[in-house]
Amino acid sequence: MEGYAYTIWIILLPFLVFLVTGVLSLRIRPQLAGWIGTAGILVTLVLSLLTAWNYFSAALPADGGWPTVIPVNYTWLRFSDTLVVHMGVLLDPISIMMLLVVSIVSSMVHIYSLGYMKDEPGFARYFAFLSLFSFSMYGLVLATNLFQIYFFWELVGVSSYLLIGFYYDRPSAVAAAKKAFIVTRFADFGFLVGILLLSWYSGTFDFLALNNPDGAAIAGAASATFMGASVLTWALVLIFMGGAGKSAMFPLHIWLPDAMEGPTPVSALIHAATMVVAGVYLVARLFPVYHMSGGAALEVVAWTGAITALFAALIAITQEDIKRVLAYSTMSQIGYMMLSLGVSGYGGEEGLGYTASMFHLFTHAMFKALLFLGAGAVIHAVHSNVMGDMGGLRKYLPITHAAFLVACLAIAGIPPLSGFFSKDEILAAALHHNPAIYGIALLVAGLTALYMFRLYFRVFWGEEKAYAHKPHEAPLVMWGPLMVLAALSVVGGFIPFGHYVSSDRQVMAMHPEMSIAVTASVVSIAGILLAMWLYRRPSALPAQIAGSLGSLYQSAKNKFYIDEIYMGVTKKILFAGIATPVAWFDRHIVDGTMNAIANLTARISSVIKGLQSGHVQQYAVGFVVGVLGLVVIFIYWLKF
Amino acid sequence: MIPGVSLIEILTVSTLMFFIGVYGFLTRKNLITILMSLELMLNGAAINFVAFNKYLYPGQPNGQLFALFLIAVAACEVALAIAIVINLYRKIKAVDVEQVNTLKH
Amino acid sequence: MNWDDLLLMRHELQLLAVILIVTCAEIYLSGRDKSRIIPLSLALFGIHMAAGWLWPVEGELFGGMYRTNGLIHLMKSILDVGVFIVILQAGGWARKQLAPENRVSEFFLLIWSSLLGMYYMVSAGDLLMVFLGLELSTLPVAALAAYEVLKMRSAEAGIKFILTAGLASAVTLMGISLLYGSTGTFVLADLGKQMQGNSLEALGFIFFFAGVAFKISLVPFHFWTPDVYEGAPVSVAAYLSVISKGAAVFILMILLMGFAPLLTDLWVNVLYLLAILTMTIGNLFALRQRNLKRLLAYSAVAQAGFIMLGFMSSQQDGKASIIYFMLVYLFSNLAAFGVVQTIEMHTGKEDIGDYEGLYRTNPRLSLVMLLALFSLAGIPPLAGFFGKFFLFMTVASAGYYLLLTIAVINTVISLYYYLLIVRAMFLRKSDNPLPLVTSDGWMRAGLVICVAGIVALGVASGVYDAIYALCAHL
Repeated sequence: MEGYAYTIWIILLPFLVFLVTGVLSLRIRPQLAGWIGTAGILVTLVLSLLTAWNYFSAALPADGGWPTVIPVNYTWLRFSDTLVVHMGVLLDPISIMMLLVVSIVSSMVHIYSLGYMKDEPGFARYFAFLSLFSFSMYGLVLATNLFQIYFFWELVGVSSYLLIGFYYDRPSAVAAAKKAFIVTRFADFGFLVGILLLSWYSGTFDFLALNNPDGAAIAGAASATFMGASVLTWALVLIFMGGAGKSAMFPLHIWLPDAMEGPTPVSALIHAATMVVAGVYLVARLFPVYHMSGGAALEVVAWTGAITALFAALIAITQEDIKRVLAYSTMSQIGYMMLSLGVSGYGGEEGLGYTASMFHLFTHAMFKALLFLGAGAVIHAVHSNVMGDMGGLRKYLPITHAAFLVACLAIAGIPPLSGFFSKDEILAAALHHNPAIYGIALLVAGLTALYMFRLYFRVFWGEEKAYAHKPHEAPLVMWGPLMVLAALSVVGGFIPFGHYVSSDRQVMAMHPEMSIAVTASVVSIAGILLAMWLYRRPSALPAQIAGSLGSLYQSAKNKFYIDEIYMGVTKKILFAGIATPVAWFDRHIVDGTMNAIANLTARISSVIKGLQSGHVQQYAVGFVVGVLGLVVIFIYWLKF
Repeated sequence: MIPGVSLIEILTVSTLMFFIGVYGFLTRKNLITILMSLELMLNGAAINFVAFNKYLYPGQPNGQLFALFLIAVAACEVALAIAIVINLYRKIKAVDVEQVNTLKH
Repeated sequence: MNWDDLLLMRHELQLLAVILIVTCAEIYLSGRDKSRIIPLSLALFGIHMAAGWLWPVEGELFGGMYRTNGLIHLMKSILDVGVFIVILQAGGWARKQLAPENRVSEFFLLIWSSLLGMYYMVSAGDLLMVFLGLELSTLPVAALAAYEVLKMRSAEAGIKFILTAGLASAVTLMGISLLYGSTGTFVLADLGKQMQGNSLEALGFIFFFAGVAFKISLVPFHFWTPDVYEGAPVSVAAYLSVISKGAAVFILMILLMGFAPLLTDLWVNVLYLLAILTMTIGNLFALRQRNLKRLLAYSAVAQAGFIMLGFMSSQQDGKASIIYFMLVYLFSNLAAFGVVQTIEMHTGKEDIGDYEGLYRTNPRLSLVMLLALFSLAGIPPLAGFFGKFFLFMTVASAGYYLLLTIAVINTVISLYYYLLIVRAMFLRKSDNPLPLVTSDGWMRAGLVICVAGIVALGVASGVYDAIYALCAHL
């Protein structure tokens, strides 16, 4: 138990850096703030590596399972005599794995940003926000209990809000920041209610007690029922709702593509590698509880993941903005992780899905951060996000090109890169549990290869565009991190993950199944070949195909109108009270209904405001009616 | 205790006074009349206190004491209200409650 | 009556002394510069507040008509802090607007008289005291609402407030008379024992409750709130939104949780209904406001609905969550009103549109506003988050899941309009943003206290523990 007390500094150090750079941001030279922030995060990287080394090199306990270590645990609040809230550090295989992901990606992004954000106004502010985010993310992954994870969960949301809205003179960035905040906050309402239900029935917030395999803590919640399902199932589904919001699962995903308005390194850090996988981490954190609750909650997780994976992959094919392709790709890959968790059992070989999910989380973080940072280098070179402005860049950006190619091959699942191994495990887990989900996952694997290589060929091959000035390779601070991440993407797959991470903490051997591996590789290569055929040389073929697919292509291109529906729900219902999503949907399809809706909104709005007429006697009427109404309801009707 | 008059009759009167006051409060347009209606309501309550005390709990005069305090407080309240009404009158040259509705919605 | 008895009424006697000293100072300074009253008042009240926190005592006076204990002491001290911040923030306004008109000390005297009424109200052991305290706390506020005698909207606010208050007090009195008719006593301790739980008492309770609900601005007794907040001087609106509401919440808590055992079923259900109505309607109206004072007024209505969540459990956790939330709400709301007041005093602007680009010209004020609004919205790590969390926890523990869901959805709605202000300040460019506003030293001190409260209350977990311990005996 001892010897890990320093881990508290992993959380506190970025916070101190945030305070220092935040307070001094106007006084010190911006460059200095950048260096302070980067130095701080590098220290936490060293500490994280040290922690991982100490933990995994120690001898396994007698029962053969990796231990849970809680080196620091302060009593934060006493809610009642039985329910106590702690703030602390919990170390176990998945939290250490997340710690590595966060520290590695965050360090790379910090270094990269030194170059990428160089001449931006607000450079110091940017690094202060990055430190705030790192602090929140560390606090989240090391949380010992539900309250702590929720606390940092919200804080991560706030820092994401600040970073997405970093370019605050762009209206679209501002709108995106607000959208991301409100959508995830809406999802968090489920999370909060779920936490309250679970903690109230179990009398504890602590993961250690909740995850106890004998199920003592959650027995109360499992026996109480509400509308046909146990309270435990309800609580877990609600908690998953929070996770789905953060991890951009369908239909709560609409904020993620818009969040690409933020600076590109931020997208790499928050919207590819760390914050968006928090939902997966949350489910994994509570996985024993999910498993003990019976299958229903996990079934929800599995299908949400599968649908999102397919849905997002379809949309990714149609996007023109390089970052948006990556955003939908991220959604799709997180859907993969979720479905893998959903199909997993507990213990031994049954728990393959759990291990595979965590494995994919790890490898995905590396190659997706690489993709975003590579995209950043491309944007840096051509000053545009749109693929139409790019082409033939492999001559100008050789290093970026190589790194990007590695990442594309990794995400497509080509052996022996890391994505191949983790995706293979997921497919194996899915096949054993649910053939339908396996089918979807396999299809998505092909689609992934297709959209990634569509991106790759259109940016780096294809016809050279007339560039305003000659594109140039990024400076060392930018391509250095690319190299590190590329190296990790190559070798990451050879980590014997089952040895370290498994559902019941026991060491698990992983047996790659040749048939699955071959099938997946064939499908992926087919996708790549298709992309190569379509996009390597400039041709009229894609336009022909788009024409022949007609409306399907169009609706995919418009993201299936999900954004529009969502905005309808959040805004119009709030303002007008009853304006239904359907009506709103119509407005976009049927031209000219706009006016009718506007009139309706205005009318309902004026009905509400009529209550506050300004006449004091009408207020008095409200008062008297209120009193008499209470009397009638409670004394004559309900007979109190 | 009034011979020949039961508690229920007094309560009927006080309740009627109260609700006549409510009615006046809600319908009159003149601010002074509204204040008079308010007085009616307060006095209805005061009668209640005294009547309950006399008929049901004659041992100690606590209800009557309450009524005394009530009358004093009601006087303060109306005095303050009149002051505010006069202030308003200086501005709009009227004591019509309908004209006091610039703040709304 | 001996020394110990005097110590029991320390809060009241101290405040009375402050009132008398300032009255004398007003007479002594007749014909000279009255702005000197302001530092004197602030200093005296500061001393009173500091002394008030010391030596909590427990006991009764006047045959049980007056009682106090650790919890009541805490309530009064919380109200003290709130009033201190309000008058600090009003200092600059009083110097600029009131001193030339020679009406400085009345402002302080009226606020303190109202506070004195609240002291007696929460310390009451008897319905007569409750009633007198309620009236003493309400009537001066009507005068305060109409304090800007030259402005039409201030006069209108006064009229609306005094009429609604009169109606409320008449209804309350009717309720008290019915309770008296059924039990024959005004003493709170006896009232609980004498009650039989019949319909007459239920009727009396509802009438009585309406009068208190008016002060807390629960829907449908809230209609006066936005009009009066908009019309009255900003300090008075701040006072109404926090102190006046707080005192009413405290007395409601004392009465309901302490002395109405037989009516528990009734009032829990009444408050359940009103909490839902209040949160939802307050939020729906707030969404469409452009005037910040009105927006904050509706936000205050919605927050009142959240406070009612704590009443769902009469246990220690319910009481503690209410008091803790009030404390947090006090700092958050006063910070927001302080910023609005500063801007309004120097530029006369109070629309959201006027706040566009405020961060560029007034970064510090914008940051204070940001913290206040995030705290009101309940975003960690600010204190508001913990306040809401405890309230929700109380509701969950009492098993009202529907109410919990509605409440949590309402926090999401409220986030929308709080972000509207944040967006205007930080994320909008304006062609002609407001000029740099330099707040006076008093206002700055008031805002600093608020910010310290917003930030520190969340971190200092000992505060909740202390409140929780005090709530063991009411």
